[in-house]
Amino acid sequence: MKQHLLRVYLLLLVTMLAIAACGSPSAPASSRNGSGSTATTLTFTDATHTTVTLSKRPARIVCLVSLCEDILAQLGLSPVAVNDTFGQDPHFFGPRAKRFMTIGGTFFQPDVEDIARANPDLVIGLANVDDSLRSALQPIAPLYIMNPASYKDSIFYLKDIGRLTGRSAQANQAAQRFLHKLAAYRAKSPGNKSALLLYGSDVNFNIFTAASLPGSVLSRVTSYPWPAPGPGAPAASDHEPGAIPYSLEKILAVNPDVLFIASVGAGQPLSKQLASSPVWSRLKAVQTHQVYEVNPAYYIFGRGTESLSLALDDAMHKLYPDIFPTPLT
Amino acid sequence: MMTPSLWQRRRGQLLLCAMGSIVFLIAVGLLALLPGTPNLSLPALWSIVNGGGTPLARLVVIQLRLPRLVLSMLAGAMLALSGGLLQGSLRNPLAGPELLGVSAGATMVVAAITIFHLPVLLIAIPWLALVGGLLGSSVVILTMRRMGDSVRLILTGAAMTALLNACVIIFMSLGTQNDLNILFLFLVGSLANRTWVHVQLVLPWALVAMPLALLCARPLNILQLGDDVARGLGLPVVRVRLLILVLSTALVAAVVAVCGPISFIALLAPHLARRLLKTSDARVILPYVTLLGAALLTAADLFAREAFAPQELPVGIWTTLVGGPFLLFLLRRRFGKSRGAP
Amino acid sequence: MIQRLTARYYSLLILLSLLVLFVLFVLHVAVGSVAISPATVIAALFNQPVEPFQHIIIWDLRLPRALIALLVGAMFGLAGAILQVIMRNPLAEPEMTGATSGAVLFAVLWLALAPAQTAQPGPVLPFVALIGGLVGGALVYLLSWQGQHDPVLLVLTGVLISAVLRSAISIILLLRQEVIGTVLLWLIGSLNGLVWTQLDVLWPWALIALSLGLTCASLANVLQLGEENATSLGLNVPLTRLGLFFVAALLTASAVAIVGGITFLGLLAPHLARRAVGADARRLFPFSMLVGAGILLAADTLTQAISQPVSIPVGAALALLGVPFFLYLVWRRKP
Repeated sequence: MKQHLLRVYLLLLVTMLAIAACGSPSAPASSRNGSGSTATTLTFTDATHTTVTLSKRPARIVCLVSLCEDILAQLGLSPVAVNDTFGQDPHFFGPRAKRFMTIGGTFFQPDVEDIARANPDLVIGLANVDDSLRSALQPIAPLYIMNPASYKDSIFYLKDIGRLTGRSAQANQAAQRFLHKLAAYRAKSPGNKSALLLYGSDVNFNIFTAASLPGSVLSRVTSYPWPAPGPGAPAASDHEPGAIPYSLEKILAVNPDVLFIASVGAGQPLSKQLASSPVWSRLKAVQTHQVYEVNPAYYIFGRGTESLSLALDDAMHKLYPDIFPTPLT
Repeated sequence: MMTPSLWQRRRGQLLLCAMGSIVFLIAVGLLALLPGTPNLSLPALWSIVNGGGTPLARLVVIQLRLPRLVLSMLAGAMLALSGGLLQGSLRNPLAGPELLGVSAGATMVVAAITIFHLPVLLIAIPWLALVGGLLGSSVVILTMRRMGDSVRLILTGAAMTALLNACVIIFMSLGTQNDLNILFLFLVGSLANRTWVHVQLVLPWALVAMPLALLCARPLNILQLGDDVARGLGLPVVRVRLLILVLSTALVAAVVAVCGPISFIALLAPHLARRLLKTSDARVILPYVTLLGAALLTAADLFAREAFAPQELPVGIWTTLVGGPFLLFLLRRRFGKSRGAP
Repeated sequence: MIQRLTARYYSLLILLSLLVLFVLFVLHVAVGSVAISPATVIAALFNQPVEPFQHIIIWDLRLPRALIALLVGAMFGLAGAILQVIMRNPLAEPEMTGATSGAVLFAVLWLALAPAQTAQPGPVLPFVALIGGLVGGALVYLLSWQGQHDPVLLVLTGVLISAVLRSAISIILLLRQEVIGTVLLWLIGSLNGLVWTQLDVLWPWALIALSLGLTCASLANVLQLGEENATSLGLNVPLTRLGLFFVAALLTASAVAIVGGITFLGLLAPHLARRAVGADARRLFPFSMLVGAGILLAADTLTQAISQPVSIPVGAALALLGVPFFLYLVWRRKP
């Protein structure tokens, strides 16, 4: 009895080992893409400190994050596949984005086979979401992980992708446009109004500190008195905290002039919920009706220079409508 | 069970314990009103009570800290009562809403409502949570042919809880990244930013269920004698047990609907009460457990609010982190004393 | 209920199961968002020429995933069977060892605290998770020690420690909100994106742990006779229990380190296996492995089949499959 079992078990084991041994993982994508690597200008180091060398300029790019679509739109390129509907916004690709191939799965676990089917030269993903796909994507395409913690990172990624795709001119132009706009707003802004960007509901909410991506932009053009958490909480690392849960008492004490909200959930829009709450309704912003629902795609999810630019236009118009009745060029 | 003569002898001691708890409760309650933005002192608090103080301080105390204090006391009391009822009726020290699948069931329902943005009226949510909690616990209770089988109780309950938690995680993985962060706060169990609206939501449930629960003291004492004896004394055992189950689920459901699943108050408070009072007489334990639960949760919430200010870490984390090991310690001693299942 | 299987019947059962497993394996490799016929799969497995694109899908993506599912399923099945023997209760599952929570906790700590260079989910992460799992198991075991081991206390300790560890995970997640998405998916278990790299980490541990578990089968049998009988037969009961517990924790920790906290497999597989072959550990253990592997392959095939418009991780599919089955089991069980 025991011997029989042992035999069966050994057979199973041997079979598995045989398959494992015979399994030949394909050579990494860089050499699969063709012979003879070109110059070192096609090397990049992404947010996970992985250095990758491409063998040719990427033409077919798969976007797993909206930042990628933002960047490609600025460069005048189109992604071959996306996993959200961000690109359908008329500021980016408009209705033709509906014809982009979609990557299935969820935001957190994109379907690797769909990515393979798109036959990409480069895949662009978000830190802490797509990094675990690196091993799986090894035989398919190189992976570029982005982690924008401030607008300077967004600009860096824009220029880096521009360099890799041979579109540095367009990248520089787009970067200049954004920086110029930012400087123009900063120069003209009286800076005397304080703002707060938050999302969630009146009970469960997170705020964006000045160390977050949208916060880094807003704090340049107006008063944004929400410093990143100090010692005792993690800061100043590769992973800057984005939004954090915050004490409502502190918000009441600081009492910002304007509230920008990205609501979550059905039911009443958050601005109405706040007006009917005895606590929130004491805020200056609520009493003077300066609570604005904003488009989270521009402020939060976009992460790229064009999204931030659109967010800036929107925010400045709402903050100082007399000074900025129309968006600056 | 306490005989009248035992009462006489122990009366002094019981009174002392009760007084001690009340003092503790008041002290913690006052302490909960002081720190934050702005940090208040006792005299400042007193002036606010008398109608003075800056408008900001008044707002913060009356609209934020006070309702939160009231809610933490109510929630703590309800949770502890629920635990006391379950442990008494199932004659098992390990029975608690978090281990029986009650909390998990209620949480799953509320999570589904929140994640899928179902258009449900605010007042209806505790009712739906009640249904969820009953479904969760029914599986466990129905498998309990022998009440004393602790292992089976824990295992079935834990399996049911794991299952329901898995469902919640599935729901969450269908959301966006921001959804996830917000929901996570709820699922850990939190009292942050709750105002009088939330107190109003819980209050009717408290006012109805808590007195009913306290009235269950006599049936609980009878159940302690064993199912057969109880039947002999004329108690409809199955019906009473069912009623108690519904009652304790109701107590938990209201809390979960407003605060999320706060664990280990329900399990821990009855144990502490029995340990401190050295009796299992439900007529004494149940009221005491109410006080104790209120005090424990208020203290935990104070810590949650101030430990990492201005960032808040939800109270559910702390009750588990501290309550879990503490409960383990208590139970080890108990099992050490009496070898074999209770 | 069949009390004792004849040796012949048992061999037939094993061969049949291996066949079913093979079919499931091929099916698993065939199903996915890129449609590939089973014939092509078999051709590719035997290195016949196929389209290069399909070759990549089969060899680089699906094959390692299927092998991992096979191994992990077997590991969970065996861990569950061992635990049910130690606890002498068919409702025990690998979560009780604390290995799952320990593994995830250490992995989260690593992700949150380690310097960025090494913080990617690369080859080091599974080892960290493995250590965490063993620490979790050790913690549970030591804390339930009271001169000797009471099954009730063991179970209780397992549940409580798991809860405590999970709340520690919550604290870290709250301070580092960016990793919530990945960690939550890990808590429920997923085979997405697992390829040869992860298999290379897994199979040595699988080999060691599975062999250890199988060789303990006869010891487990003696344990099942009851404490007094076992002791009178010369068995050192506490030591045996410790050994078996350690093996179960090792199996769970190494599996969780790769795929995350899959629940229910360790509960379902031994149950089904017990129904088919009885309680003799020398038969139960291997058969539980086969059943576990089969269930996970089937669940993952389901996961791969549904990827649009929404996909569910394999842990979710298992939970959904497990719910009705678990309820049925508990309902039907005799006290």
